Amino acid sequence: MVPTEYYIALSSIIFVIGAVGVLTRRSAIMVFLSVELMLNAANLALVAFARQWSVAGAATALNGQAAVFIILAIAAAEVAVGLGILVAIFRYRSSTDIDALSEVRL
Amino acid sequence: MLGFLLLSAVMIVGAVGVISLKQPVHAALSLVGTLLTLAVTYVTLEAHFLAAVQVIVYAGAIMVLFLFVIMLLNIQGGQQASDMKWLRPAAYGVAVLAAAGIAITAFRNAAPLPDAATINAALQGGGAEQVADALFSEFVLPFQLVGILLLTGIIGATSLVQRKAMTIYGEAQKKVVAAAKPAKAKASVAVLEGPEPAHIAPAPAEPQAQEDIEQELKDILEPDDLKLIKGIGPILEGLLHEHGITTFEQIAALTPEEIEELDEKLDFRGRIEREDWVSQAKLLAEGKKQ
Amino acid sequence: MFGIDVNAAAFAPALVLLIVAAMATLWSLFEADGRFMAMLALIGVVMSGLFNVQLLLEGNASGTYLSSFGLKYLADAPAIGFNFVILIGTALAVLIAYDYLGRTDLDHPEYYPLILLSSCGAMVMAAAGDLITLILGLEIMSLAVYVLSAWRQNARESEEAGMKYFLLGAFASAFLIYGIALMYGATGSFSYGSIAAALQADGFSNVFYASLGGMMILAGLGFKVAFAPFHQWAPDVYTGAPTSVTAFMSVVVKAAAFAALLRIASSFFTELPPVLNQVLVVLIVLTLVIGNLGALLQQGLKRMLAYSAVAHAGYLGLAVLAAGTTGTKAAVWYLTAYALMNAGAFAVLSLMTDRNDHGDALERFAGLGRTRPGLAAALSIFLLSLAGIPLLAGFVGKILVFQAAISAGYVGLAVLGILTSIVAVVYYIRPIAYMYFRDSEYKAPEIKSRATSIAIGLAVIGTIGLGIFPGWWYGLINAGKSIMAMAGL
Repeated sequence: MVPTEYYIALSSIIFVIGAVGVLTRRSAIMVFLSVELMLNAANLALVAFARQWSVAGAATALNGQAAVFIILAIAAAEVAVGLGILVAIFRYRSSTDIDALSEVRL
Repeated sequence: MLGFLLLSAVMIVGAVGVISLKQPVHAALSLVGTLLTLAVTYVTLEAHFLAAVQVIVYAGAIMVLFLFVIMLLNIQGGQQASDMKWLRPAAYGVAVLAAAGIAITAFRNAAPLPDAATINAALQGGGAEQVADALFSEFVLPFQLVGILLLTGIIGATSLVQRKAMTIYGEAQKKVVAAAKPAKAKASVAVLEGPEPAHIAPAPAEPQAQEDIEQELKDILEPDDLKLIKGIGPILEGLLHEHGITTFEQIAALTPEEIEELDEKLDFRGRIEREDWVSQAKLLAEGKKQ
Repeated sequence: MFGIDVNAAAFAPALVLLIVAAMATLWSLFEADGRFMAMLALIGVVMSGLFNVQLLLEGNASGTYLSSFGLKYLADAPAIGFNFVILIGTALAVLIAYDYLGRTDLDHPEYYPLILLSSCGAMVMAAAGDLITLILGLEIMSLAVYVLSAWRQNARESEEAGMKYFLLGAFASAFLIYGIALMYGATGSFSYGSIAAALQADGFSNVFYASLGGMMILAGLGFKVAFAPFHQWAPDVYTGAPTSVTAFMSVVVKAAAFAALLRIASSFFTELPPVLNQVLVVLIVLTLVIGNLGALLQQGLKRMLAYSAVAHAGYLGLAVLAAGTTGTKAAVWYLTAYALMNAGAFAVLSLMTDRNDHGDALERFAGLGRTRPGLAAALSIFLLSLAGIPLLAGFVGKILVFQAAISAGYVGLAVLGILTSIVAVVYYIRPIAYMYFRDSEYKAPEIKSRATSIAIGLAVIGTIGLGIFPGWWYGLINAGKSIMAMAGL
């Protein structure tokens, strides 16, 4: 079996790729997709840690997996609201470019 | 180990695709690939139920929603920002450092993996029963809170997206109700006091009012395609709709004062007169009648 | 049930808000009258407040506090105190919105349910005894506020405020969640108590995971309270959102995020390597300097108040550094005062601006002392209190926070706090000077609203009352400790 640290390294790479996406992509939907990457990286870390913590008994280990389930629901709720805001904005302008937020001074 | 390396290679390629592909649809499909690989990885980590949920909820429902919105809004890949050139290399540099930092931390903290028997005894494959045990004992409060969270999400998303239709329809309804009330009141008075000419007199006006309202409702519910007027695009059409202007007749009947008012309210900067919407609308309205 | 204790009295205040929110949502299907919904929301807030008073009095009398779901939901002294702050903020925001929404064409039926759900999430955050409950409370609160920031749909500022807040907020949440995952990896637990116990245990080897996790949790929560350099969203979002929403989020979101930070700081944060504490110190220094200097440069009152909110996060940060019982009490006191004076200032602002929230430039306030003396006097009191002038609530709050910081050994930071407070007086006095010593070039707006006047009146009474009789409220919140402090953690 592959040790936990390999999974954590993989998860950190995915997390960081997501963070780079948030910082460098300008379109709102792309930023949003990158955030999803980051959340999934966190879930991967939780599942890997859950397996590691099976030394401490079933309750501790399964808590990690249950937390993944909760974070999945958080991601779903965020997506609903985020896409709602996106659709609402799209009625008044034809781009989702976050750099073009001209009326709010940076 | 070979399987893990293969999976991670696919996952990283997918993730890089998400942040580098120009077209949102491609990026979203690339994310689907990453998420499916992640589901397979969950299986290797003894989390079978989560793997299934990952495919059904994440790769299935959530990503379909994403693709749906991308297609609905027809989002194209825009050009990249140019004014912050330093940001990109800086972000990549920091990213490599951060990832390396976490990875080194992970390897320095490497603890021996518990043997297969221990893992099996604790997780039992991470099936629905095992996860449910945790969810409905230790995680009762979070589980309930997820319900509140989803309720908030539903109310929020609905209130943002459904608004326009609600407002226009609601206003029309109010007018109908307001017009119907005096009509009813008059009718009942007429019945009570007998057929006196004075009370019957306003009666013919009622169908007239009713017709006006019906016309107005019809305007709202069966709008003309205002985009036929040169100078009006989908965005301006939306703005006009919000101000209750939905038909050619309404634009044709605009007085100079009303034009000025609209111009100011909607920030058209003299566009209505410059592009002569009024005579365009008159022609179109005549065309519609024929 | 399932071997888990469910103690309804502990979460009654949040539950009442949830029930009223659900009722209001259903009611909006039949009756779309915004003012009726506002009254319903106010009734909910008052009922929730009564339950909270009962919790406080019983807790103070017996010295023991309730908890529920196996220490996942704590109704101890800090949670009760923060509940009061959240309820004050919500009540004032509802009163501001009462006429404001109709006046600005924003009267859509989901407004008040979202406000109540957001407050409910904030209470969960303040009461959370573990990291999963914390993140859920934070998301409930935030999702509602994202939507409310984008409430004005025909104005780009508002929608962009919503979008920007949402994207950056989701980014910050991702950091927080990754930090929680790492913390679980290090200690095998999500609850504050067990994490602290695991960190203290002999032979603890996962220090790196734990500190990295702590750093990410700090960054995620630092975003919510607008610590510099994570503050960039705050001025834009505060300016772009409708004023009634700005009043709500500048108080409630901040209070809930500080409640969570204080719990973490008083439980396991001190067990982590000291470098994390130094990071927090740097953040606070940056926040104090950037917030106050930023506010100095603003020409519009709304944006000035936004930067001032950032600066106040710095002062509250001093309480977080002090942590423990002293810091928590100082923070509760400070936030009570802050809720009154800040929401009060936004209430005045909501009467000054047009239907698109424009017209908050300082020139517009010239001569207000003559044209609308009541409004000018109220705004002056709020601004002076925000500046920390003696005999007003803000002054006592600052004293408590500085005291807490000095007693925890951060003398340098306390001095920096005092120095920046002196700078702050300049930008708080400027609008007052405009109101009383300049002649008006503009006609004063004639917006009148009884509900908003009540909000302003209550805020004025609270600001002055707390300033003159600080002992009463401090005595009430002083009586108890947090459950974790009582358990010796």
